[in-house]
Amino acid sequence: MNGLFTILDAPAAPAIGWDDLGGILPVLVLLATGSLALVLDLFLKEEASPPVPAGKWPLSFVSLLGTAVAGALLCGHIGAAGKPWSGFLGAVQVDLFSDAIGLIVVLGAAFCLLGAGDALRRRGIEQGEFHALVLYAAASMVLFVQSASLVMVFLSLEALSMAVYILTAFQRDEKRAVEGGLKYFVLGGLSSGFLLLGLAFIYGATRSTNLTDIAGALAGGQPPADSSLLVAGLGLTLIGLAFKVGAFPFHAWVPDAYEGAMSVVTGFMAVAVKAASFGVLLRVAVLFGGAGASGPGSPEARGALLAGISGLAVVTMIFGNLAALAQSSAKRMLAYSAIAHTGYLLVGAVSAMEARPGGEQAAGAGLLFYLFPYALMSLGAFICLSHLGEGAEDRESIDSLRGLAERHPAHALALLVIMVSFAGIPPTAGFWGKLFIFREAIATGHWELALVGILTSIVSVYYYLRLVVAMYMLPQEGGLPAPSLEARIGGKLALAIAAIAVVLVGLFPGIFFQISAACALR
Amino acid sequence: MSTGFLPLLLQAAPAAASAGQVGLTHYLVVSAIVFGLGLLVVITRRNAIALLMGLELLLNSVGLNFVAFAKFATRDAVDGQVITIFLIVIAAAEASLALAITLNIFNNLNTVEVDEARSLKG
Repeated sequence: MNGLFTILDAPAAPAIGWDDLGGILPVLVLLATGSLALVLDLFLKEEASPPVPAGKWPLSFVSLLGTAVAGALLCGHIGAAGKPWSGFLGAVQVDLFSDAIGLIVVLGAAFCLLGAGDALRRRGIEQGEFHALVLYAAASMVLFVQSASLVMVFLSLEALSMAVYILTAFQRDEKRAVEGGLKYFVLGGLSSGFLLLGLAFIYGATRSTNLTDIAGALAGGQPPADSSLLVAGLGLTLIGLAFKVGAFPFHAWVPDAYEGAMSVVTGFMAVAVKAASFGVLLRVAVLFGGAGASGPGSPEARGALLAGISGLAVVTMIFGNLAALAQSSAKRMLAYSAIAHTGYLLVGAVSAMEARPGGEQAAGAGLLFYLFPYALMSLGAFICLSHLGEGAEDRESIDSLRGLAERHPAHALALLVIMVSFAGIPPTAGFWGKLFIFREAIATGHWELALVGILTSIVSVYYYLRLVVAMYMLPQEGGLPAPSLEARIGGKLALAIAAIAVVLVGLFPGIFFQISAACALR
Repeated sequence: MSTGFLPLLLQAAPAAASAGQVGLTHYLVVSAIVFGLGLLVVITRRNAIALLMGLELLLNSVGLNFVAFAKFATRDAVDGQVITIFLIVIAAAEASLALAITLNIFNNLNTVEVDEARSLKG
């Protein structure tokens, strides 16, 4: 009952064994590959200038192999419909939900690493630390979603945040990168403070550090020792997580960190950090505020969480979409659109809280389905900006994309598919994602959230299509060099995979929705 | 056991004071003050090093909270104290990271005043 450290009181209790390590094998693979990349970098010679196209290809190869193995392990677990498993004395809980989120995180890392080789080489900073940090961040994110104890939540959150702070400021002679890193660090540290205080209050109110134990006691009709303290703790935890997912009004770091970081890193942040944080947000929301789960133990907690998340969803959808309208930089526009998509995902979290365990609707199926095409679209878009870049600059302003269709028709077509999908025009993947999320919201009685979502996504069509108009209908502005892209295989591959996958998910949404429903929280 | 935070505070304070002992409430009040000061520093100071000190105050006030809850709320568990040890380690790691970023800010801008870092529009 007392959680993680009961073992200190009872020496006969089972200790941590090999089984525990086997359970988190994907995480260990990511960590080991990251360390391997660090060591491997020592044996790779710095190439003389001009940088050869291949550069330090073994680094990318090894780290991509690591993500492939980790992804295959996670897929295998989902395919075998593995039973929920809990290890490390209840600190880690592995289930299909954590596998699915982990898969999206690993996908983000793999795409980032595919595009990174070229982006780093152009800047002359192709170092093993980058690959290692991406892999360490991915490992911490998978652990973050798997954590079932307050200690694990906090430790993995800090580990993933620190890796991402460094990745943001990785280009350390670039003013904007360092500045973005500083802003991300200060606001991220502040949000960690709130989240930690929330965890301390939850601990004080319930006398336990194990989330499953706490929620089980509440569901069993056992009121918390101090229920207003529990509500305060959950509120602070929600604020901390809202910072991490970039919900309005806790979004201030998003545009700056997204703009300052290299575009490949921005893609990784937009996908992996958000997916992992939403995984934990959904778990906490359903454990403490789910329709059936929270039971008679603490109705106040459910009310507070429901009101908080619905409110965040509405203001985030409205703010993100309106602010994106005014941007002239494509990268910044995508950053605000990432805030808007956080709003749609929050709607999915609200309907997940209404789903009854064992009922017809699985909690969070819509959110999980949405995350997958969202991941593909964001990664594709940000990698395209990086791919078209020159020197230390990525292709960032909307004007610089003018006339792209004439010079690079394939890239323009891929970006067109992604933008149409972002806007939610049928029959693309983005359309189905929004449809499932809003359908769930209406089915659970939150039609007002669906209404706001539909209206704001109509607004969003304008700014996504602005990019398409620039690429296809406006003449090129003079002066901008067209980089030769022959050598940039990784970015090309990533962009092609993302665009084709967006089309495929759009054509066969049923299969992917079934997988999401199977992986949803039980 | 009381069901509200405020009633708990109000009951505990005079009881502890009359016994001449330091109770849970005292720890929570000190922790709240330190957290508030940390927040104030982060909001008002514009020097990167001072910001870092504010963040450290936040983390340490939470550590105090955990230890207090471990001592007074759960009598037979050391969970809170162990969390605090982790917290101290994390705070050290965070400090080194923050100093590294600050050093890079100084190298690029020749100052550690964050108001000078405004090439991004936010």
